[in-house]
Amino acid sequence: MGTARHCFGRIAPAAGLVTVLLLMLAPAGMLTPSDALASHGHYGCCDSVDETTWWDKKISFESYTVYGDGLWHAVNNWNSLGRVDIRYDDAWSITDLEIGDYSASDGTCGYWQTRVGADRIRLNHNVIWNCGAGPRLVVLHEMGHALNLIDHYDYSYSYTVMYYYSIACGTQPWDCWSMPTWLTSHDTHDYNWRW
Amino acid sequence: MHRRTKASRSFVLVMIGLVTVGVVGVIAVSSVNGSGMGVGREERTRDVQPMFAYQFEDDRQLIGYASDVFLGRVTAQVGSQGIGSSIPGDVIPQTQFSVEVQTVIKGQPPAVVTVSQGSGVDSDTGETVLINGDPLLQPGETVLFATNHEPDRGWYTIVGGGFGAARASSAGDAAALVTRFQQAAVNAFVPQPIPGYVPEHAGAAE
Repeated sequence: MGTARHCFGRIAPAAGLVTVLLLMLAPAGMLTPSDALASHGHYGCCDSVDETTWWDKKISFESYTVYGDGLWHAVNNWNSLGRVDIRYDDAWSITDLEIGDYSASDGTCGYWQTRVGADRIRLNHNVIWNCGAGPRLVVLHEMGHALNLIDHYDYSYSYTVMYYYSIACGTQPWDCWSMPTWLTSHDTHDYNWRW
Repeated sequence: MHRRTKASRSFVLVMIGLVTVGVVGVIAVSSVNGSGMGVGREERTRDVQPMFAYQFEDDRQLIGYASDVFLGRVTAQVGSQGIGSSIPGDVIPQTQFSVEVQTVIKGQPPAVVTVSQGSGVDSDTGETVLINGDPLLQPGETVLFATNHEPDRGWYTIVGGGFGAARASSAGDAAALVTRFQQAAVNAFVPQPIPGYVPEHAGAAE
């Protein structure tokens, strides 16, 4: 016991100092979990996940979209991975995400936007049916952003849900394909790594 | 007992220091990030990452999807009229600019058009929302625009965020942009995916 006390007396201040140094680095943004995740390459700054309780990570959403089939396809696919529960907002929850539609001829299929208050997913009426496989793909992709996954720009990922474009082409105009409407092994890998 | 008391005292002091540093650090980061203190909300910008229908980095696809492609000079900001969505109270920021058309590559735009950029100030939050970080246009800039004409709204909407608004840094650069887009226009196309087609490299990336 005497030896143990002796060691504690010496180690405690040193350990404390190390802890203080680590804490000084953490607020400065030099040592944060998001950095460790970002180094993997496929995670964004933000998400719509409510992590108030660690045992119940969830996204409570309100829907104002006409693309209900696409929405539930996305919810079921992401929920099947089991780490974050995406569910309809109810009287007991605070809305984390609102989903609605707009119309613009800017070539966007849709996007997720983090905001003060509830985040938003917006789906573009104007072009959504020309976005590869359509609403199922677009909502699945945007819900991926709500789960902290970012766009993939590298061509080697051009058959994943989180690819930047809904359609990719090879060298010829007729050599084009839609991104899939199901989660690929890479999308699943990114989700599992993050959550 | 003496050793134990001394160690405990050290530990308590360290804990106090630790909490102090943590609190100061959080305050400092809040100030830097503008998440609360020190930074006015109107100074903040926020990027959105849309999923694009086509590979707009490919000039041929950009031109294929656009109705009007032209080189023009931005003369003034003339509006900040957003567009609504089905979410109650939602207004998607847009900013309109007057542009003098100089060289037409596709379509028949008039000599002066109103171009709408999908970026602007969110009236709810005061944040400037940018499409993939593409900055707001500035009067005096010469830009190669790829747009879609929206007569109902009275403007030409920029296609593909920054891909549809290529800034020219000089007269030579502007000429090079025009040449590049004229050549691409010859082979412009709108991609049609082959149903059920899976590329050979699918599953290769992990």
